[in-house]
Amino acid sequence: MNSFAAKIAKLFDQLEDGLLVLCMAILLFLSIGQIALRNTLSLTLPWADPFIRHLVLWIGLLGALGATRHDKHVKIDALQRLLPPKIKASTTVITHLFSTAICALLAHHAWRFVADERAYSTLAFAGIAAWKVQLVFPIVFAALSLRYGRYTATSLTALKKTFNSPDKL
Amino acid sequence: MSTLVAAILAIAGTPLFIVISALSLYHFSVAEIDLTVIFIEMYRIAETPTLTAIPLFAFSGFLLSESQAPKRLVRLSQVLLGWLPGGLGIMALLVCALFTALTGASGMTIVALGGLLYPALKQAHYGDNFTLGLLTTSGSLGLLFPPSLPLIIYGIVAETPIDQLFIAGIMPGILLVSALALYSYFHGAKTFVRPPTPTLSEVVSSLKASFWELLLPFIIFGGIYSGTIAISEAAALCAFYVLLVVMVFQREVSFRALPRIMRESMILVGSIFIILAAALAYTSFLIDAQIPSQLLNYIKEHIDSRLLFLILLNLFLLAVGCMIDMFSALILVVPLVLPIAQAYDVHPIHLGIIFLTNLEIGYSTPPVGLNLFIAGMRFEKPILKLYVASVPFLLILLTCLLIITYVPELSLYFVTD
Repeated sequence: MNSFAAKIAKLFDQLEDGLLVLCMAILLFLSIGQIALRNTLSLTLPWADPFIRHLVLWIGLLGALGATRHDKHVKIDALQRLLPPKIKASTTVITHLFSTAICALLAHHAWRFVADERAYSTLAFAGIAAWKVQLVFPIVFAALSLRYGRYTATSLTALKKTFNSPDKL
Repeated sequence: MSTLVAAILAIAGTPLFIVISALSLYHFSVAEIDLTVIFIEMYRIAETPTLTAIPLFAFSGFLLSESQAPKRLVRLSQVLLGWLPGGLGIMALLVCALFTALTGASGMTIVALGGLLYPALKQAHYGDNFTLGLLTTSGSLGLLFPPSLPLIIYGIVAETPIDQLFIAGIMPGILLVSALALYSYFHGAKTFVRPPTPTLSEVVSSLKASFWELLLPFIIFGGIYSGTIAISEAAALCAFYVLLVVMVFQREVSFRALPRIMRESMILVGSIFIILAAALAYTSFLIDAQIPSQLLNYIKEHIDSRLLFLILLNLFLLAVGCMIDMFSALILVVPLVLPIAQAYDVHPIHLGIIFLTNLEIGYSTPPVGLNLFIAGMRFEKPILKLYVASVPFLLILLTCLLIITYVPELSLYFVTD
């Protein structure tokens, strides 16, 4: 990959990390603050609970995006551990390619979902339109698709290397 | 056919959330249902208040493992249990159980505590196989104790009160730990050399050092069981308290480390939640297609005794626990099994305890239990050695599993329903 693309990718990674940490920090602050306010001033913030629940959704999806980057997704890798290198490299290309396609499909339908919600002008909380908070779906799935696309390319290069190496299967 | 393709892709190492989403995409489009339904279901994550507890507890667990708390707990139990034959082994079991209850079975117990406990046990002349087996199986011991994340996930998926699940897990959890403790006692008795009795000042100083961590259970459960706060609020208090302890009282984690710890813990949470999101859509398809009730009819035709059902359930869950990670197992299997179990008169809370015990044991079951691989990496031992090492521990745990499964009172005695 050329250095410009690498820089852009790095920038996005940092943005993603920053957002994730920011969401978590707000979640911590709000959920503790809410208990404190209720017990000291008997004050409840009506928007806090739904806001916290949406933060959890955002954290979950951004965390999943991070899990892809750090290869921390749950998968059944028992077989992978036993496969010979060439077959292993080939299955990696296939699973990455499949993931790219599924995430692209999901991003497409997530976008349609958000458009529907916008048309019905549903509200999430505190007068905020639901579609705005739901935008996280198409964004994260599109990012996942791009990321898996990049990994497909990397794993293809790795596959070529394995086949050029002298050892058998 | 589609299930077969999905199974092959899953075994080839495709992330599970992709496989589940692919199945939903396929089945909904065959049924000519608008695919936006997937996101209507996924959005339910933002409508489940209890889920907030998971990032907060996970963060607390990661934070504690960054601090010196594990080291202090090891020292405390050495002082308190050193006089007992097998005491060091028992101490290892207790510390692992406590730690796993907080961090879930993410392999962190073996990674974080293994390095501390392995040399300590070896030094005290515990056999190599015994030590390895103990540390491998302890990687998921303690999952029945609150605030176990898998127990919370079970409660959410099965729509069962989590505070009652916590109570139900205590006796079975104690059974598992004490059975292994007994084994450690007999193993340790063979080579036991009584260490010098700790002085009172040693006891006091190690108690003092662990004082803040020892208060933690009271902070978490005082609120829940006095009925004043919900689970998610207890999780918030727990996170706040742990932050206070590690950053202000003990000063072991710097402010600059926080973003990294947040990120690492939230990546674990993300990997669970994305499966939960995908599964919400898929199980809604399964329920629409009446798969659980078909499955129930089929099973009822072939199995007529409750006993046989429970035996098969145990075997099935052990296999599941061995194959896939605990959270996905719970998210995927509970909606299918719950109605069937209820038809056989198994209490949902008891079912939760059976589930967790099975999955916990499945984690250390050869050939592919996850704990075995984590321990293999951590201790740099061949996997076959770990198979052999964990056998006696597995036999003990399986005996306990039978008791837990067939004596529901053990789980349900203190449950108020």
